[in-house]
Amino acid sequence: MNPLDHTLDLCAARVMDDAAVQDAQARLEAVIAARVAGRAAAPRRTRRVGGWLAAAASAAAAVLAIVWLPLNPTPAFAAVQKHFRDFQTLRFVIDQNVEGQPTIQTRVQATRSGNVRTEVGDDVIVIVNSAEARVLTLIRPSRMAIVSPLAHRVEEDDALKWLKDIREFQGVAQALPEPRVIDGQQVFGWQLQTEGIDMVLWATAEGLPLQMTMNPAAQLQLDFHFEFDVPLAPGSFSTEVPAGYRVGTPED
Amino acid sequence: MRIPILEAAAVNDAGSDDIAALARHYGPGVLRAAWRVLGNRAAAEDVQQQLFLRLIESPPQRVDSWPAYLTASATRLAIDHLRRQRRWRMLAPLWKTDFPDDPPDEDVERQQASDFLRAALARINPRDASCFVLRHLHGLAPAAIGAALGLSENHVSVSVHRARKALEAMQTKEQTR
Repeated sequence: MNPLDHTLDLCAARVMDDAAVQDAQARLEAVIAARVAGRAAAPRRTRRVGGWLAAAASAAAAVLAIVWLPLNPTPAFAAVQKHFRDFQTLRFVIDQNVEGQPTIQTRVQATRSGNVRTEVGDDVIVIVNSAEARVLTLIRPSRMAIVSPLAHRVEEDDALKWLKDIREFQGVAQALPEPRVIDGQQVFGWQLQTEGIDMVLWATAEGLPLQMTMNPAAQLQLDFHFEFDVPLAPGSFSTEVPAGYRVGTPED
Repeated sequence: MRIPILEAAAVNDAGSDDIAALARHYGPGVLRAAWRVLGNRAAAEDVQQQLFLRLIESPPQRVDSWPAYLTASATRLAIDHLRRQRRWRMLAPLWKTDFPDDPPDEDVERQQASDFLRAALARINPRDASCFVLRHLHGLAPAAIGAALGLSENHVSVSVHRARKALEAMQTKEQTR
């Protein structure tokens, strides 16, 4: 082995102990709280808390309060689930692979209040605005915009069913033996199965999920890359028809 | 082709509350990333706090991946710290460090490897050092490094290669002493 690669392996094998990380994290949060309090006079953005995700989280919490502890495999996986239940914003990318070949990428932004923006490849954008009960679909190649009423609740959307499954998962999540590194962070794997679909979730030592792999069908693999509570632009969920688009109907 | 709604979506408006949430989620990862470069808890914690306080003061305009962005920022700050530390040591050789030392690693070879890498990273071009650490110590893909540092993928590969050559030369020189 190249001596430099050996040096790198030795350096990568060094691990900071968890107690030191937790102590530093507590001090960081205190410093930030003090700084934010010092800036309290400045105008602040307000966030709506409520909607379908909040209701779902509350309902899940109520049920889980009764059945959670005896069924939950380990506290660590509970921390992973907690992120999926408690987020204010969630941004994720789904890379779809068929027979090992990358096909289409989907980018999703969601808020706790039930707004969802989905960009499928480069051609289609679907924006669900729960407060306005409107859906805007943009077809980029033909510059067409379709505005429609929100026909059903967002949580009934099949595209987000995996989220509900993870939140409500009460089976055994098997911890994988080997950690790996994603985006510079050491992560630990959890393997679980919901309704016959295999999932592997990778989360930090604090339970923050960064990646998930799902195999919903033979030869089909979906790779999810998560970011929790990151800032999203307010315009992301606007259902106004953008300039340059003509308004069409689903029949078009 | 310009699509206003997409352009609007690309702009982030990170307020103090957003940064506090980011710190809650990604603070431990940032600390570990800084520690992997610095090998010193106090210095790594300094980098961690510095990074999030800077974000509160001047949030970035556009971030494609927060984990990658935060890891890259922590790495850059950590390398700046190594370079500052090296300058101070050159000026005042009797001074040890500006932070208390961590207890030494029980594995001597691992401790020596870590000491060598820190000293060597402080001596090469800081951008090359950042790219190298992100690629080989943190395991980021060249595309992710490029997005986080505002460089092309090709530029990242060249930087990583240049850093590797410089570090290998230093290691050879040290071994032949």
